[in-house]
Amino acid sequence: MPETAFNYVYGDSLLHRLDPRTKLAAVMCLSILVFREESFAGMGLLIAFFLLLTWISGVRLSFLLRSVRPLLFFIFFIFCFQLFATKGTPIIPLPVLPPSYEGLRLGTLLALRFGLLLLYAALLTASTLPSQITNGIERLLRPLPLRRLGVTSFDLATMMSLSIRFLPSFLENAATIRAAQLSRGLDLRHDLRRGTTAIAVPLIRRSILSAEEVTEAMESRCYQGQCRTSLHELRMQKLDWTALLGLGVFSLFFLLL
Amino acid sequence: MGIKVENLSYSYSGNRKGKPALENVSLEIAKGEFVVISGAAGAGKSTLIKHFNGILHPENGRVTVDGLETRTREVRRKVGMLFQHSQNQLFEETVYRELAFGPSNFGIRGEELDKRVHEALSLVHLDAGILDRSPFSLSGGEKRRVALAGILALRPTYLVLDEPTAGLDPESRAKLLGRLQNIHQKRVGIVVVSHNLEEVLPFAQKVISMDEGRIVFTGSPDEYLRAGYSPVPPLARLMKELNKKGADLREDIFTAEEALKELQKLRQEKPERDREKSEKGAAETEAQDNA
Ligand SMILES: Nc1ncnc2c1ncn2[C@@H]1O[C@H](COP(=O)(O)OP(=O)(O)OP(=O)(O)O)[C@@H](O)[C@H]1O
Ligand SMILES: [Mg+2]
Repeated sequence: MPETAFNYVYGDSLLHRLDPRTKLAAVMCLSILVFREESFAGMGLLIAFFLLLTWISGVRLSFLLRSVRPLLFFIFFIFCFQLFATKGTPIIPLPVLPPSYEGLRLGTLLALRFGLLLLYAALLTASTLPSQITNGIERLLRPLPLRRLGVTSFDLATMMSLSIRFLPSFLENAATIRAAQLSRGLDLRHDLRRGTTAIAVPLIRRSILSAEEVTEAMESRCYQGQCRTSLHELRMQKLDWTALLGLGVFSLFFLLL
Repeated sequence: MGIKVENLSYSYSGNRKGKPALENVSLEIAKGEFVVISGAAGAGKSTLIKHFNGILHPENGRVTVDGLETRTREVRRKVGMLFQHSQNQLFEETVYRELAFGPSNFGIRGEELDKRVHEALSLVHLDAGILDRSPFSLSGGEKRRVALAGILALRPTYLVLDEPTAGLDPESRAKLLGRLQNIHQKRVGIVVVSHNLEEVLPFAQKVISMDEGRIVFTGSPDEYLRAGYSPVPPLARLMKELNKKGADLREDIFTAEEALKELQKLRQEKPERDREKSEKGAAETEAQDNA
């Protein structure tokens, strides 16, 4: 498999060993900080913190940056939108939509914000197995009264891990169906609308069918979502509490500054 | 002319380094030839045939169809390709539109299109009544036949099929192979990828055997059997076993009729006492089972 965005990177660093809940909490906390931050100095500090964590994790920075790439266009769009649509002192006096200094500032901040959010998320997925993330989310959601809504945290966890597990086979199906339609003379460059139907209809159909198959297979093995036990029960270690404490101090310090 | 593959190598990007899916493969498939490609799972059969109509492009080497590069669109029409699980490729609202999809992609319209649809339908022995039905309302076997018809509507010069009989019941298998033979008689070249050599060997003019991305054998079915490759079709194995017990029979036998003819030779020979008689009985029942 080619290395793609948001993949796990095998390792044994401090970050890899942390409890997934700790890491989830940390990402949430850092995301809030990233979103609240209005100054470049603060942004710089958050970037420095990210680099520090990356260094600890032993994951290559270039690998994490790859996760941002698919959304680069989107980030660039936001940046341009801010640059041209914000009113203020114009950089170049154009008759319509002059780029302004205020816009430049705002746009840069927003672009940094999105980039940093993605990078923190990439760091989480790079240092935590998908099954561990699911496990962690399940444990975090368990106290919520979700049962009233007709689902349990276990159901949600199962759904998440199944979706992750299905992604490769979805892509494989897509490739097969594409090849089959190309063989029937489909010309994607020529007729995009028809091409989309010719690929999407069988693909969605196939996916629903295989979802049904898995459902039946799970039910025939007595799956229930009320209460499930786990082979690797999560346990918070001293390391986790230390990390959380550290993070708390960092955030407080950050907010007061 | 024909499909010509010269020194083809291919590896999937990101696959284990240093182990290409195809390594220096060369072969030639003549116009109107019936070719069987065999080999264990992962040998590279599917990868190879995807080069025939330009779904994959050679990393090294060259593939041409009737002298055309496989990047040309005409090759897609010349080489009709039916992948495994072909029933999954259906998407139109009616069977008619499903069959019309291929030809209309090549700009065929109106009466000619209509003619192609009906022609393809009769090649797979389906009723015209099915044309207005939704492909999704058909049985799995019918869906496959519609998928095959969808390819035949292109009037390919070569028909390439990846495991066409996988997952079919014995009767449908036999019928499908019969249809392929009919299509072959219309001077369409046929390339079949199959694990199940015994059922396709009787029709084959050439066998290509692959292993780990290389071609390990090319030749006629007789040569294939004589070279002692496995798997050996059951009737040929039967002849071999009988010969071991002292009979003198041809071993390149594929069909029940041929087997019967050979076995009748035994009867004409002076009966070599009871031992062989009982064997003959057993042999005939087995021959019938296989028929
Ligand atoms: N999409 C792909 N990405 C990466 N590797 C692949 C891909 N498809 C096939 N391979 C690899 O290429 C090799 C040849 O595969 P191929 O599908 O051509 O084999 P095959 O002979 O058709 O096998 P089977 O009889 O199981 O269909 C295998 O080692 C397989 O793992
Ligand atoms: Mg295959």
